Amino acid sequence: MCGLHTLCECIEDLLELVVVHLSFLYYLYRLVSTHPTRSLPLHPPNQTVSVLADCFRELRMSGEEEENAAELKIGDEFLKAKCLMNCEVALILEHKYEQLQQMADDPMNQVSQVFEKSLQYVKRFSRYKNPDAVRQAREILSRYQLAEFELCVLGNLCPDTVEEAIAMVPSMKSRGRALDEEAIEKMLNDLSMIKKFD
Amino acid sequence: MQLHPRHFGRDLREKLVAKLMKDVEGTCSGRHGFVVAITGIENVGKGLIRDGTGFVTFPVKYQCVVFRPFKGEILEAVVTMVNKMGFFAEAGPVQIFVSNHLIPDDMEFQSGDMPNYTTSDGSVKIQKESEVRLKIIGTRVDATEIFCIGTIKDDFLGVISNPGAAA
Repeated sequence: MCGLHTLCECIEDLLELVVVHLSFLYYLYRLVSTHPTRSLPLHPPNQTVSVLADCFRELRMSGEEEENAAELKIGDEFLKAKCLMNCEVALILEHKYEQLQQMADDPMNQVSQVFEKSLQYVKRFSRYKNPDAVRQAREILSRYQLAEFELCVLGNLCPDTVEEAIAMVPSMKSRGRALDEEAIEKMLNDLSMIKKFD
Repeated sequence: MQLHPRHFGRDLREKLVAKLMKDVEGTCSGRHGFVVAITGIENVGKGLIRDGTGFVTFPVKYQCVVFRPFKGEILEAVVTMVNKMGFFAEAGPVQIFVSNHLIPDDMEFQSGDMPNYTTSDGSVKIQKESEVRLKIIGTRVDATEIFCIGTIKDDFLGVISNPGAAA
């Protein structure tokens, strides 16, 4: 998969740069368009570049599609992005909702359905209600060299036992991570303490 | 982000941000999932006037909260509908379907005015408004929504709480 991925990426870059060699690209395009698996309408030569680029992007994406959160394959963008726990999202969305409420008398008309549904969902499944508890939970989880995504799954689901935690986040146990069962147990204990005092 | 010339003036930036929120929040894309809320604007670049229309395109860099379920991810959802094929659940804006093949074999479908899946001893029941923990095994994204297939046939998955029952 990796080979195909880099190849497609290269071709994609090339396509964006080499707009001059239209005739060659047109030839390539006709190759692609006459390929049995895809039947594309024939575009005029000046559009072929973008159509081709799309084709290869699609091809590359189809390789990337094989994500698996259990092995922490969630795409580069999401690995780097900050991941939020349900309770954190609840705080953010509620804050935003209050802001909107001050601006207009009828906030429900202002917000999208997605916003509304998300707010209801995160409110329902928030483990920690007050902001201090949320902060503490993140603080505890961040001590254990977890990926952002793993941190949030643990924070959201609050497993009670070590086995449960590993079943929820299998990537924690793989790849020879420095996390042993004792560490996980300590982490879970610390988490349950916050809940008790919440 | 495109802006009509009538909005140009002192509060151009505010207009731009308002339009961005209106246009982008609640949309959905395959790569990033649902854009739930915009939380901050990083910068607004130089505008580019479009030929013919007079519209101006501004590059806007912004931060937002997105919601994107991943294959293999475990999450909690609320059951919305139960039928003999399986049940539908909702996690925020995302719809999840759990087929009866992916419900443990000891759970049987019971029809009636409150259709549900129940174990033979009646100790566990999945019905409308139940909260379940499920694992996502497939996702399909189209222009306006994300649809997932889930399973509860695995360790530590299944019902968390039922309506009426003490949580």
